[in-house]
Amino acid sequence: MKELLKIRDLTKGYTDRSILEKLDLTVYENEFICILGPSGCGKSTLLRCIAGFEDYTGSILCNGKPVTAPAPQRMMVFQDYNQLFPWKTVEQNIQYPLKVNGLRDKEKLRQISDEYVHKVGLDGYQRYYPHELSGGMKQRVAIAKALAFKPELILMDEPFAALDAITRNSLQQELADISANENVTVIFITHNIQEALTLGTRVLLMNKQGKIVIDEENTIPKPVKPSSPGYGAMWDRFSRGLAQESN
Amino acid sequence: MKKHTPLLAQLLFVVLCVVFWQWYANTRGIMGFPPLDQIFQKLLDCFTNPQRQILLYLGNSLLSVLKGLSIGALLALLLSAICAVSRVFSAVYTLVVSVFDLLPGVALLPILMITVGANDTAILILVIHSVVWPMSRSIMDGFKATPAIYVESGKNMGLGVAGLIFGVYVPATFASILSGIKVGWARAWRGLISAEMIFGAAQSAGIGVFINNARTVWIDYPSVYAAIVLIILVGVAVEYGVFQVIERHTVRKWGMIR
Ligand SMILES: Nc1ncnc2c1ncn2[C@@H]1O[C@H](COP(=O)(O)OP(=O)(O)OP(=O)(O)O)[C@@H](O)[C@H]1O
Ligand SMILES: [Mg+2]
Repeated sequence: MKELLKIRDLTKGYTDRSILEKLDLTVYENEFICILGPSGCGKSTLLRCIAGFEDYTGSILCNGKPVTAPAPQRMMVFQDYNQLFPWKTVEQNIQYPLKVNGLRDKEKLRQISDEYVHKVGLDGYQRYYPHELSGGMKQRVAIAKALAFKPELILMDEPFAALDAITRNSLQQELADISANENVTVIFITHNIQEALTLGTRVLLMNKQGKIVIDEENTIPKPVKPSSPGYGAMWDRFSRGLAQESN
Repeated sequence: MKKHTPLLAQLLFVVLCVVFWQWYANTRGIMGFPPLDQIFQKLLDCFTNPQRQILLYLGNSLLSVLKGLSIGALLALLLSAICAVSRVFSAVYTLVVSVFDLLPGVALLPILMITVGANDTAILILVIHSVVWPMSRSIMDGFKATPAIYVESGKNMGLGVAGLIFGVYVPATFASILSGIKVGWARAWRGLISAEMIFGAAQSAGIGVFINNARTVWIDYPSVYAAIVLIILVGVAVEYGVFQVIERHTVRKWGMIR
């Protein structure tokens, strides 16, 4: 397995206190990493450092190159529904990063956006504007946009957190299917153990001090269901870990 | 029936005004108060009388406004864009805007007349002055209110400074920009007509000059009223024919205003 992201001694704090301290993490190509952790432990901070939105001390190398600024090769999917540009249609939103980075061929762009619109189950909505979509549909578009660019790494910060349980479940299933069939590497942050076990090929738990305390390969066979062998035991370990870290 | 009450009230009001006007004008026969049929006749005449083609005057005015409006809008966009990049420039420019925004353009006329002369350039400067400050203000406010997530999303895609300004800030701010243009247009249009009436004869005579001539040279009050009616019609056409159409095809379509 090829190393994609290598974080060493990552330390990050805001004026008064430190959030992440000497964090090490190595991500390999085609991994789907889920990070769990109590609220406020620094998960978003970690992701924003990797994305290049924050300055930090220590080193973050993506494909051997130090991360100093945001770049499309590390594509972010935010929790906020309103991350799409409201002045662009669904297909224009999906095509825009490709266009910005030099793909001009209209035919090709159309073909790519159609393909990913289809993958996230939004056929027929290409010409809709974001305000005409539901929250779940907007998140689907944001995911399609990230996938269509084929970045080295996709960073997702609780993209499903604000959705209702049913929509959330179906989006999890879709994302699990898509990621199994595409060459993508994902770091996915969530509060939800079930979500982490469903999606992740590797699941991490961060503690209040911003350290990674559990780092486990997810060996539960896909598609993951609560009845899958090993699910209960793994769920218990993370649940206990979270409870310990939360008090 | 209830739904139509306001409309009926408005209609009734207009009919009453017309009847009163007509009655007053016919019984008193004051020069500055001609009957409506004469005004209407003039409105038609003015289009056909080759010496006083009111549309030509109106066209000149509209052209001046359009020229000033586009230059002013571009200038405002450019200066606000520089503000987004440079803190020092932003500090200075904010001060300049807040000072000049308070100054009615017509008040500048005496100075313009001795510095650049009573010509089209003075008028152009006046129109630009009316547009550039309110527009700069709306654009800068809009830029500041642009949601951070659009900016981060844009940076993430690899947009540079120019890309961020024209690909994110401008569309995100479009509602603000439009309202800035509206304010600019209203001020420029009023300012222009005042200036034309004060100048008397500019190189390309506008509708203000027409009104002045009708009053002093032709002594023709129905024409004065015809021009007033036209000025109102232009206002209506710009609001409904231009601004609302642009709104419908942009910010309203994007769901960025209700
Ligand atoms: N811009 C900032 N300035 C100062 N402190 C900040 C800033 N952003 C985050 N923090 C602090 O850093 C800590 C970690 O925040 P972060 O958003 O990374 O947590 P999180 O693990 O993502 O939490 P959640 O699960 O609730 O999203 C929090 O205590 C927060 O108060
Ligand atoms: Mg967070």
